[in-house]
Amino acid sequence: MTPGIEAVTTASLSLALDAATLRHQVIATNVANAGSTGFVPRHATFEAQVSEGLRSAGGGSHTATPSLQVRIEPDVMPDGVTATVHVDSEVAALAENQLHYQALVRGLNRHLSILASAVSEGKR
Amino acid sequence: MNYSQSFAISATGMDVERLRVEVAALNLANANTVASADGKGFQPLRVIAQSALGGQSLDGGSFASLVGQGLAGPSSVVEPSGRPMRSVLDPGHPHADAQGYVTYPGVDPATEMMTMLVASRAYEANVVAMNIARGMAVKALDIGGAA
Repeated sequence: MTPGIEAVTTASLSLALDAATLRHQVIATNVANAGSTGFVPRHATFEAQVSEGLRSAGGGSHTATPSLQVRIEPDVMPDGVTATVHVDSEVAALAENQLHYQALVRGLNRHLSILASAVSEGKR
Repeated sequence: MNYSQSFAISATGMDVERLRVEVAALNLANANTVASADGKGFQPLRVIAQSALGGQSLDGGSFASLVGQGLAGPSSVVEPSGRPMRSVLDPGHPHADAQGYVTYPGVDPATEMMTMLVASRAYEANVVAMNIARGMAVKALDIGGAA
């Protein structure tokens, strides 16, 4: 285990946890404003930037940590009409985001348990 | 995970929906109060919720600062709905006018029921969002625990 890989794993996992938190806030804003006049629902996009950051970190130098650029875009149809809030799909997105968050926490736990195993020289 | 901001967003949403139910209950409670013909008396009210967020796209930092200022949630105004008064022919009524009509506020029970139903569903959606934020916060406490 090189220090570079170690840094990339924890850094990218914690970035992804931050991103999931921000996505939760964006969806919660959509749900809270479901009855507001003139509200435009938004969605957060960040996975693409994370994976590109990982690729550059893995292929090039190990010092490159993945960066996170979150874009929060309004939901606009191709014909320029702004979308309305669909509470059911927003709640489904919340549940999916929660599952994603739990998976990230599990991954971070697994990584930390590997470190703990190294610290205890493989013993329990 | 900064869960207090997620809680605050869902709480503002619940605030507005509770206000909708309260205003609908107020309208229904005053539906059969007598109003004078010149418009004095109870006026049916309605809640207008507005969002401080515009239609522009944001990056993560500016969204987080908007959330921190409390601008992500809706704000609400209660204003008269402006429905026309309802006239009922009741010549024996002490408040009847010269033609025998008594005026009542223009409360539509079907509209108020629909408002309460929609507000109740939206409230539940906000509760779900808050519970999920709570679940994520509890899960974040597991980091570093037993895998």
